[in-house]
Amino acid sequence: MSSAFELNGVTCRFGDLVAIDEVSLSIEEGEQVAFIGPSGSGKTTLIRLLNTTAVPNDGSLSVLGNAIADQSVESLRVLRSRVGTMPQHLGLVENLTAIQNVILGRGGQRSTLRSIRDLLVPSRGDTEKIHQLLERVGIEEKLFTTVSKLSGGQKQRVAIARALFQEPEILLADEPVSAVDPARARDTVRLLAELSRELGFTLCVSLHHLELAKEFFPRLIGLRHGRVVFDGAPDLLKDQQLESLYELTADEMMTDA
Amino acid sequence: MNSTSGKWGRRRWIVLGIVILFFLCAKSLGLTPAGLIPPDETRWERAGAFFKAALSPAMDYQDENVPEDAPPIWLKGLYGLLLTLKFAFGGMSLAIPLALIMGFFGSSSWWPEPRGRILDLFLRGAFFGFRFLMSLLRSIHELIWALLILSAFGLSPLAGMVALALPFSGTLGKVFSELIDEESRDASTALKAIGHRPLQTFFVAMLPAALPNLITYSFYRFECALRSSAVLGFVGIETIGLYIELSHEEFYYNEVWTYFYLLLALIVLVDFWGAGLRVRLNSFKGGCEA
Amino acid sequence: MSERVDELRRSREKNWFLRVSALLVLLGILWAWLTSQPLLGRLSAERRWLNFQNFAGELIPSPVRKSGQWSEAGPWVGELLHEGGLAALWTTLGVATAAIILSAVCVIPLLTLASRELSRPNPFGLWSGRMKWIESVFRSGIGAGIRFAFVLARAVPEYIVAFLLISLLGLQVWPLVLALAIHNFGILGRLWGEVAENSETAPPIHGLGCGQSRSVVFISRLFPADFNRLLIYFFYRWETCVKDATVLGMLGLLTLGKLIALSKGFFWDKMFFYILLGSSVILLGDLFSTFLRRKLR
Repeated sequence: MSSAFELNGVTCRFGDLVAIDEVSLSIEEGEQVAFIGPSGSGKTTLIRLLNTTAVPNDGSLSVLGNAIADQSVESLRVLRSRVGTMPQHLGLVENLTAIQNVILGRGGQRSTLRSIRDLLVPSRGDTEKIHQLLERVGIEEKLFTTVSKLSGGQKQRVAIARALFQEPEILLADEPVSAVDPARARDTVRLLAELSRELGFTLCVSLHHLELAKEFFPRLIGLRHGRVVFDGAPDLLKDQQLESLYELTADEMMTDA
Repeated sequence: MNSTSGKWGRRRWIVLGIVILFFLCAKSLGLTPAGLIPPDETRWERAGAFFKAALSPAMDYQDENVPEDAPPIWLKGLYGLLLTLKFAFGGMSLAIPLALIMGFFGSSSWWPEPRGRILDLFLRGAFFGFRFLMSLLRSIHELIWALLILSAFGLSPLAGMVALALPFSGTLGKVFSELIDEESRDASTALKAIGHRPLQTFFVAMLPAALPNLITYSFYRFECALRSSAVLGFVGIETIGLYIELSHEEFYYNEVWTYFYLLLALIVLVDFWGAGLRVRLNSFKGGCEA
Repeated sequence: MSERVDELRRSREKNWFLRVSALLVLLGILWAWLTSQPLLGRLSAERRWLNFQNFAGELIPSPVRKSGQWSEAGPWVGELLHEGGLAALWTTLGVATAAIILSAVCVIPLLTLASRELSRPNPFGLWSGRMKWIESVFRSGIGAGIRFAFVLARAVPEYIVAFLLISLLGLQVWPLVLALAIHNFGILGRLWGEVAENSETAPPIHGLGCGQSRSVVFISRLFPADFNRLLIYFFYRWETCVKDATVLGMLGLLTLGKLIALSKGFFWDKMFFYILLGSSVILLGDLFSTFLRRKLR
């Protein structure tokens, strides 16, 4: 197995704020990893580093074997089209239909003109493919519905379908369940984990919801103040480490979740 | 929450200043209540006749010399409305493509990031150049554009349409670029993260997201174009404004009111049509800025 | 599978209003271009080109045309400004300012009655006591009535109204001010009405709950909270008024428009100068108003 991500002493600063502090870790292709930690611990910055929209101030980062600092604009763009990202706020175009949003997933691999054509007259093949993807995520009947008319959970499904249509080698998801109710959150995380196994892409998810992370991910990475404080299987995570992670007792953790 | 606490503070002084400003203007212009009364006997009579005619718009020509076989006045009025609509349609169909081009260069949301120094200078140059061009176009009223174009090229339908299109493209272009730049950039950031080019996100995310607002705003400007097109009648272009002016010259006040009511009805109709469009497009920004 | 996609495509939501609108607009454009014949008028192309060359030549200031030296333009400009350019500018600004303030003063007291929320028999859906049927009918109708008055007022083309009023009131400033004020009364009514309707509902509901009347709620809660947005629209309309006031002068009053109309046909160079003068004032007003609106946002 080759590595999806290699971080070596990576530091990322925004002004005086050190968001990521000398992090070294490696994630293999095909792994399912959850980043856990309280808000402000650096999860979002880590995701941004991994999808190459932020660049380390110190240290080296390579994605799918490509060192980020050396990439030209064009090669970086091509690299990004191999890594899918589901941002926290989904980033859907609300007044386009589901199919139009999903088809944009492949825009990184297509020309600008082709993308405009895709929006106006999607090809037969793409339409069929997107219909299958929407069926897989459970909203097949919403193919031609405007996104603004969908519920929060359904919008999330559209964002997942967009990521799947991209056929990425890695999928990054930033707090995918922050805006939905607990029952739906569990469904979404399970769906992502299942899809990752089924289709064989690497999955990295940032979660503040510890129980979900423990249930579905074989590897957890705990962050605090931009440093890695835990890296391993969920059953190795001790209450004591949890406490240092959140500075809360385990009991409080449970009620909080 | 300070602003909702009910304290007036500095707002009181702004309101007071505006009221004082009004009296200063009134004094300098010689605006007195007495000016609202017609100055002499003939004008008194004229005003009386004029407002009485408002209650009985003409159903027939007041002019005795109109030939027997002339179309009835309401038909002539409707024809005038059609001509008014024609210039509005013609002018807007020229103005919108112009505005889209100028608005594109007057918007910064498609600029690549990062970019070289030369490209950056070029983009900023184009940005300010087109913004200035748009300001210049809209700083001259359509009636004056008409005056200039008619003087330079002579009377023709195209001249009227171009005169309308130039200032309107300036206003539309400015508002287009602002509406696009004000849209949320979440979608375009998300798409750039999966390899879209900046220009590509402009066309597939920013523009589609702003489209409902662009459409409702264009529709509001269409309504303005109708009014302006009627006014172009006063420089000799055949619209309903010309009929109003001609009838007024002969003191046919009832005819004036007939044409005026027809024009008003058309504009109100278009206003309601636009309101319907706004509701169906879920857009509440149209018509607010210019 | 494929049939399912077709079925979904067929059954997707279609908006007939939007489709019919698009069709009408398209037909309107086609009709406008196809029926405007001859599009270029009846003059020949060469004739027009000659016209244009003559016209463009005439735009150059006359002293410069005679001597060929642009340094001569300075005194010429000074003379024109002195002769009436400056006074006309001043009048233009005054007319615009007086008109917009007049319409603002007329709109403000009506906003309580025009607001979709406040004017109802039970504002914000709050139980407001048993009322006589006549009062509830009045309350139900008044909002729509005033909003329709706004629609009518803004449908009025100011140039035509000014033209009609001048023949009744004589050549003075009132017709211009009134014409501008009527049109902007309608526009401000709509824009300010939208501001009041989109503003936060909690403060006015609280006010009504404390037993304040609708007008008091408007003055003490809505007006201060929305003040900046109201002011933004006020300046935006003021800017438009300056532009329209310039042109209304073409009806014969001492704003720039009059000077433009007088010079037309005989002194093209002067006319062009006055047009540029007017446009530079509007550019300045535009900048000033943009600056103020940025500040208020």
